Amino acid sequence: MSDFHAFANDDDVLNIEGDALTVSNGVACIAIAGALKIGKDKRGMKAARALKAALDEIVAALEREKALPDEIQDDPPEATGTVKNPFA
Amino acid sequence: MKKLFVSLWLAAAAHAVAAPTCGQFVPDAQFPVLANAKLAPKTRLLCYADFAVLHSGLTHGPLWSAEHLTRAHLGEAREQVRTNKFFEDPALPPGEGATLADYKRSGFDRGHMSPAGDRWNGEAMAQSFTLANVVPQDRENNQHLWAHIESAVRKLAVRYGEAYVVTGPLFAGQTLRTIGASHVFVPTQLYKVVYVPAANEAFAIVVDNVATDRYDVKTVHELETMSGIRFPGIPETLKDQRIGGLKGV
Repeated sequence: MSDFHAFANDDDVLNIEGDALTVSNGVACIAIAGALKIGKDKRGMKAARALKAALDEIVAALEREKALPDEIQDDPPEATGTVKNPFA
Repeated sequence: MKKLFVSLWLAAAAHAVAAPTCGQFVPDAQFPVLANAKLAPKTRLLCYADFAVLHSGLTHGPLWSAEHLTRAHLGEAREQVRTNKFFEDPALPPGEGATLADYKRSGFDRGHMSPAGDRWNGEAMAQSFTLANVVPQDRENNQHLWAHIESAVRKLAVRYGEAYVVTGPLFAGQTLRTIGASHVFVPTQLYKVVYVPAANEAFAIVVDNVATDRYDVKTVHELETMSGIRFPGIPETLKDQRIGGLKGV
């Protein structure tokens, strides 16, 4: 996928067949979510190629890293704030 | 005084330019109405290629997002393969919209209201990633239960040819959680109102904004009471119907 640059940002999402399968980019972690049926047809081929291109791009990006850690830790989410409900 | 008059006139003119042209996404061209007047401050109607949003500068997100699903368009939507990008909506004045930074490390998904998977062309799909169409949604909820609900609604529209759908957040209780420097409100629940003209059917779905597999079926009247939003495009005669549940959810 020429326009999906693995680990480049936190805002890109590759959508395959609508949102059947989504590949959400992230600087620290890429998330793949959904379920995709790959039919033995042209549509299946298109979906499979898109998924393969994304995975190839992810593997290439990882292979370019000289010193990958064994496992990075997830950053804990920031604490939420509170506000008085203005609609109540 | 004169200055004030001029700026008011400019504001009115700007509003006229941005006049809504998206009545086709709601039944009978009737947009949802804010029955709870407290919802009204800082709201703006935003028209996109195949959906419409009422954005709140108080919550920094949508109050509702409306779409008209058709069998033909959903056929196109299933074919879409593209890379999209979440973005801060340039149509909103500074301070009203959420920012990308608000969601970063918030622990919440940017949960679409009108889903990306319903969009039937590239332009519309790209637009659905505006932060004006998303709310802070529990990640598990978004990726599992909510995805199944979206899929079930699509199937209904395909089966009966068309459906009008409005999706939005609910804010219940005295205190709400917020994320980010803009204080984007975290919804306590999410709702969908679905009207299927060919089935003479209308119903609402409500889910808590937590990791859950449970959804509640509501009548449209019940949802109107919960949300403070009325749906005048849906026939009154259908608003007390209660469906059994959603297939496949």
